[in-house]
Amino acid sequence: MTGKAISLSVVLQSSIWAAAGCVYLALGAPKIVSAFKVPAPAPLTAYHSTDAYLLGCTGVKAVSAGLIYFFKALPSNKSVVVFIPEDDVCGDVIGMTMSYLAWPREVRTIAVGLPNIAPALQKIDPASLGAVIFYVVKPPPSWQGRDVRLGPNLTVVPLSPENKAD
Amino acid sequence: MILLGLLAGLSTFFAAGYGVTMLLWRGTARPAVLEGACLSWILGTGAVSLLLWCGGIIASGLILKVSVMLMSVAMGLTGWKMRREAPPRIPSGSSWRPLDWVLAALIVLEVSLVFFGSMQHTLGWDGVFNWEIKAHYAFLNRGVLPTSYFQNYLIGFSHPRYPMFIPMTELWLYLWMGEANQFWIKIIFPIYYAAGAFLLALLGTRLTGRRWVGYTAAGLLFFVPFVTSPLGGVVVGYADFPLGVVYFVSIAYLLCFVREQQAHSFRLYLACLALLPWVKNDGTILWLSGALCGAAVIYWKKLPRLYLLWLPASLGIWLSWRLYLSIIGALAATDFHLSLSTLSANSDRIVPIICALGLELVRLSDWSIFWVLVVPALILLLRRGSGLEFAILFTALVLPIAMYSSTYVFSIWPSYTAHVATSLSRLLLQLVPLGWLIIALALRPEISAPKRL
Repeated sequence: MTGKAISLSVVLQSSIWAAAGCVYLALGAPKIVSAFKVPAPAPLTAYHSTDAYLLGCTGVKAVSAGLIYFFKALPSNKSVVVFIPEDDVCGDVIGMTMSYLAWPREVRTIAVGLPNIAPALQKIDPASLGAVIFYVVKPPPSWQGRDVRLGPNLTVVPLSPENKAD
Repeated sequence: MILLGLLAGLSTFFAAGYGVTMLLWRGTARPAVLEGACLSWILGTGAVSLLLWCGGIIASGLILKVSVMLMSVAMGLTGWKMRREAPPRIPSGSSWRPLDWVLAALIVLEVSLVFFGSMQHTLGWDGVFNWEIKAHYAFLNRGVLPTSYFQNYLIGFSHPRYPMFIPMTELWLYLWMGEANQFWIKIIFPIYYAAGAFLLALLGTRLTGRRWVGYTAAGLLFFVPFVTSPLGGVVVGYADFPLGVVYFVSIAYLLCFVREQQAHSFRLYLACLALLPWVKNDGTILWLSGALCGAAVIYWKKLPRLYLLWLPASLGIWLSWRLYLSIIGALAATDFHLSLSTLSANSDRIVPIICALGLELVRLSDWSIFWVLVVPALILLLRRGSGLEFAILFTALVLPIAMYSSTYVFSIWPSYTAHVATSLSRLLLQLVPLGWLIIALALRPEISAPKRL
């Protein structure tokens, strides 16, 4: 009688665990499949991740290596300023990615309201800067001509010693 | 050349780890090959990352690389010598049934899928801006992070105070590859998954006495959706899953010690316990939970008081790291403010945090019904009357959840709910491998339950 009770209990317990396992798999497996679906894997570069971030924000492919090359050419004691629009989901990504790529140069990220770029530019000391980067924000007209455009959203302006911020 | 360097770098992790594993395993029969390999990976990455950090204080460049390499090789050779002197392993005696083979094949397939998924995804936000960034900067600075990095508020977003386990592990591979490579570096995370899954299978088998139980738990680990989630899972280079593996291994060997009273199990528990705060800051909470479990075992089993001294000693790595940060004047942390006044001011957060935790635990898209299964598993363990085993597993699982949730009361983020939303699921991920061990122990057929402890 006891043996029968034990085996019934074991069968019942096993059945409950098996059913729970099936529910667990039925709910979990579809999510796993979706986690492995990547729409377009990033190219296999040394900057695989930052390239993908910048591609998502600027539409430009494999730009990290080029930016590192650009930053390396700047005087080592000069810092970089990145202007990003306020409340832009990509703004922080751009600021941090530039910090990552420009090391050991310091990168300061400044969020601005789109029409108010001129007051923000007046606050910075151009003598300490090697370059200014504008993400979505348009550089003032007087800066155009020396700027390098990387896609529709990203503009890089190298500052030589005689350049002055307007 | 990059791939050759990567292989050489990975080999040195295993060599150093094998030396540490055999040193801890001494005095008993040699470990199974797979168990030894998994432990070698975990302890090897721990040892090499520590050597790189400590070595970097006094050396850099080629001298640093060659010194760490020589020490790793020497540790590997010592381990090999100890293996030869150790008595041969006693086979378990249980034969492999067809179901065991199927489950083993499933685990191997899942590990392969995790490797594939990791290669498909990029590193996630924390993967780049918390961890890899430090390895990248150190690589550009001859293998050492300059002290100015820790003092520069402009880089504060990269959390300079976070411990260096992942960054130094990544740096070691960069030094071997000859370049900072964000693609190949992702390989360390699926290796952690493999080590965790295989050890769950092996230790689950040992603790339940049933191969199919251990292997089933390891096979089902993969189906917790958040384990492979691009939002913080193992495929995007976050530290949470590796931390969860180290924690699970620590608690599992403590349980082995309770069962078998073999000193090497306690030493492995202590080694993994010591690594926890070195993997991630959250590891201090896991350390506290694990140390309490260890203290309970020492008290319950009436072990010599000397054992108790090892628990605070295992916090040595973390204390050294904190000392280093204070000596170099690292920037203060900016996520939490622990004080009674903060607790009093933010007490209205307690109920919303408990609600958020409850909702997270039943979020099917992240966990399926994993947490729902853990609850009856714990109840079953309690009903079976294995008091000490239940106490260890309950404390090891529930205390970190309670402490993690309480930390949000002290959050100084502009929105603490945003803090909860962005990090709670990753904190819970750290407990998933242990949760599967709990389920495995509950799945163990009652008739074969071991004697009450």
